[in-house]
Amino acid sequence: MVDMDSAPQDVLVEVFRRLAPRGLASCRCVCRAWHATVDANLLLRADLLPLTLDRIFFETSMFSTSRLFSRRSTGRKVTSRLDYLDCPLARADLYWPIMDCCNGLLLLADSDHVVNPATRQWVRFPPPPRSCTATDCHKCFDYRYLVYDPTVSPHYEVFSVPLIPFNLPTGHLSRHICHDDQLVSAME
Amino acid sequence: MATREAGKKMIMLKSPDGMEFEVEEAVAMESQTIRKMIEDDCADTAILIPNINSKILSRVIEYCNKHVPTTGATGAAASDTVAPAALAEDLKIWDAEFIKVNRATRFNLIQAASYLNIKGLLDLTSQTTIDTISDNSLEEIRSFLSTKNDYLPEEEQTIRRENQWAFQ
Repeated sequence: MVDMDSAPQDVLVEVFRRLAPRGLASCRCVCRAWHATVDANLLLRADLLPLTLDRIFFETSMFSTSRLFSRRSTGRKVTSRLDYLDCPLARADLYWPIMDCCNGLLLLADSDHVVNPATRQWVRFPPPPRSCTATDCHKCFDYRYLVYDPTVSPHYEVFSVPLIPFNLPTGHLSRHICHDDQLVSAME
Repeated sequence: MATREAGKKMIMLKSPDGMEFEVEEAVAMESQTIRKMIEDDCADTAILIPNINSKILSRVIEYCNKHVPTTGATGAAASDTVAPAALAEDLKIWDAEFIKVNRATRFNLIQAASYLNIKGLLDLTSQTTIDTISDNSLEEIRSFLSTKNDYLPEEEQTIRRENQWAFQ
């Protein structure tokens, strides 16, 4: 039986290189040799993780621009103005409802943007499929949620959850909130 | 069969225990290390692969044979009729079978993949260990990977505190 104690250094490094920060942090605690390997190869960059609370975005109402609450620090210049996005709404400084946020990333409601205000990097993700296909329907909509944990993975995910009507009897098909005849079969 | 192989350039790979493997150039070039040697014209005769014994080298070649783009030996006939998604699925199943080896062999394959710089094989061979580390507690990691804890209890506490966020 070969144990990891006798695994050659290069095998350890190859495995560690593929680990997320959380796994690497565990490895440092496993034994002295692993600790030395992680540190000697500078594999764990905890300094790059958003592990401390730096500033807070907040909204006073759904219809106003979001504001930023932070200490008068010497750090990076972060602003609540999102005028660097590729959208006329942002440039006109109109309101930008933040639909969700997670570990330093923002999800904007109407424009399919995910933004990192600290680095000003942003992407527009492809429009998700709508749960209601009725023409001119303005009642049905999907909630979107952002999931991002950089200690586990460098990738974020956006979930789309359709607004589920009240009093949905379990085990029964329901109809969309707009009372269009279409069934909400996906919710069953 | 003969027509397909005609005109293909062959490369001789030698393991340190004296075995020789004749492989198609395209298959050998799945290894970025060998690709570099060929491109730099350092590979006119046989290439000696140090530190990788014949048993491991033959398995590495088996992997490269399977993963070489479909114009190669294994997939030429299939690629016309089978959809790419089906091919990818087939490859996944093949990979899962391929990696059913003991830990010593897996570590040797990681080492070989690292030296030969074959990204797909490295990802495949290190995944089991990555999963073990990512999904388990410290005690389980030590027990599953037969690693001895040589920390004093207070030392372990100190190191744990350095990355407290990982244990919350």
